[in-house]
Amino acid sequence: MNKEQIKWRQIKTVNDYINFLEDESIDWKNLNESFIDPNQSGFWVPANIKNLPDAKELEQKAPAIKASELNRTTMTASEIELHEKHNYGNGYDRHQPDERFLKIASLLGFENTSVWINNQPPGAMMARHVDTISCLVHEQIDTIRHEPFDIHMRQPKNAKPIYRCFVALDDWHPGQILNFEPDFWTGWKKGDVCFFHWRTTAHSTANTGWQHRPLLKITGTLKDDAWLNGNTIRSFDYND
Amino acid sequence: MIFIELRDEIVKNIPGVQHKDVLLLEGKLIFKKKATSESVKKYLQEKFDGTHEVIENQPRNWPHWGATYASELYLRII
Amino acid sequence: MQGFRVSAEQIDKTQVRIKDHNHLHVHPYDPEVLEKVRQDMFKPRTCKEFIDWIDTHPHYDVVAEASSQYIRGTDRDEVVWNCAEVQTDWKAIMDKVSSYAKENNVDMNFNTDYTKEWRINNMEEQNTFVPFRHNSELDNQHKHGFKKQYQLIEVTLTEIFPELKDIENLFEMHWTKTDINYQPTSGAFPRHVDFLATTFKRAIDNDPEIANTMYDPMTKNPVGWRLKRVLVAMDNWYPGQLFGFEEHTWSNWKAGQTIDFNWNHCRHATANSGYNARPLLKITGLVRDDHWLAKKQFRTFKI
Repeated sequence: MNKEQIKWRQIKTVNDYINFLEDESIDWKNLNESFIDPNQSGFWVPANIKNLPDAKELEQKAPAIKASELNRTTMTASEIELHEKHNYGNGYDRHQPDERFLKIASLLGFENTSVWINNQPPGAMMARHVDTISCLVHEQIDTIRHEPFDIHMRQPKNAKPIYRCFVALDDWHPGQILNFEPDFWTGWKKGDVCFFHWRTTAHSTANTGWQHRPLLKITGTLKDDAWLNGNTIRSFDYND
Repeated sequence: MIFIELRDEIVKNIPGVQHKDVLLLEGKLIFKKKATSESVKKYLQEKFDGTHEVIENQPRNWPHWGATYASELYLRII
Repeated sequence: MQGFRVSAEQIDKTQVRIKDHNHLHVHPYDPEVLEKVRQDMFKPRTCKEFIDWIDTHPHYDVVAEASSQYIRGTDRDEVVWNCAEVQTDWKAIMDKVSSYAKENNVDMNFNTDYTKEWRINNMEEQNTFVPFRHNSELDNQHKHGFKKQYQLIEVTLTEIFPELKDIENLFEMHWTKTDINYQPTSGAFPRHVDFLATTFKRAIDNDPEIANTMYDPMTKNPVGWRLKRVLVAMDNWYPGQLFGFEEHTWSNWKAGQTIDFNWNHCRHATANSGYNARPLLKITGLVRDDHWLAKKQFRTFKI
């Protein structure tokens, strides 16, 4: 058992988890790759939302975090070190969503959410990784700091299962690559909602096209998650 | 399957459709007139019945374009 | 026949001559502009006339986009396919390439620009051979944030990699030109459509028969010939190495796996979002219609 795994098994609370992620001595790549489980990896598209608002103004708007920068808000110190070594940046422009886009999370039935717009401009790329949903944990840290932490589910123990999804805010354009290993999400239409097994799926994205690639990233629990695993694609209407 | 050959076939088989009515953009057929798109969609649905879905979309019209487009069609393998 | 060779010093960096720059490199291109450019492309020309036309066209990347007649929904088999397997000591070759990359600091220093042509030049004759690289294409890429693409490591015109020249010879092409397409981590080459102009121009420059043959704009080949480009994986695929062909992708390759693809019409792009460099052997040349590659046959080679 390596030192990361030893320390990982000692995590009891959410606070322990955050401290572990922020430990600069851990080998981020080793830790991150230890989460991968090819037998439980992948994505699925169980819904589409009609009549979404337009996101094209994002192309002109200054982001909260630029694709080219490395920022401690979205990455730990050891994660940044790995990214610097391999010439990576944040990988996408991070924008604060306004009410129009926050409504989408409610529409899908999310609660206790973290919502951000990830707009990937041409030329930007997100290095391969497995998610740690530290954004959600950090945003709610004051209320959940002392909660017990489930190291298998990688979330607070007493919470409903946390889901993460991406909502396409524009159609797919040639050159936009999104790899949820081993598959690729491609050819999406505006409004398509993509869920993936965030705990175990290594993923990376690159915009090798000429147009921006805006996605709404929603992380949280669902009031009712039964519809996620149905055989049909559920249709939502933003105007409802 | 390449655009010029598909367009020649469309023009030959759908009355009233001319070459200039069907343009190509990033692998999609794009139309100024919705009616033309509807006719072509029906034709493609029959041609690719069982193998492809014909997706119709409202295209984004860009300020740097010289004309406005009402519809675009593309194929998706079933 | 007058040669068309242009040295690095002679490249006209003011080549982009459009007066109105407002719509230059603004995507997606106007469908009517693409249609007009395509009609222009279809005018009858010899190969020499065609290469002159695209070389002096002020907006090469519009021409390239217009030249694609790809229809979304095309089967993957018509986009990219396995054409060969090359069995050799890839580990030894990769050790050599990795040492070469380390000596030349390729992984950290691979920004593209207009004059160095992304090649590692350490042979005298390399300096006088200038590959086709239209300035408007680079302008377009730089404008959209693509500055670190990949590094081309010369094979054909040097003696540094004789084992790779042996592999090049397996494919029995004419006017073959081979490079190692070495993409360090974080490199990204944007989606584009090829003309294989470097090889094409070299053939035209040196072979009057090809220069005077009519150009087929539908197939983008000289009549009676096929321009071919195959990619040989030099190392196994590592997760994060991305290769897109329109809505399709190529991944999970093994060293020696060789693909042919519909370079004529398919937009393709690469990005290395992993943690290992991605070397591919790029072999481009001309074959006749009865060549095994033209007939989409598969061959296994053992060196």
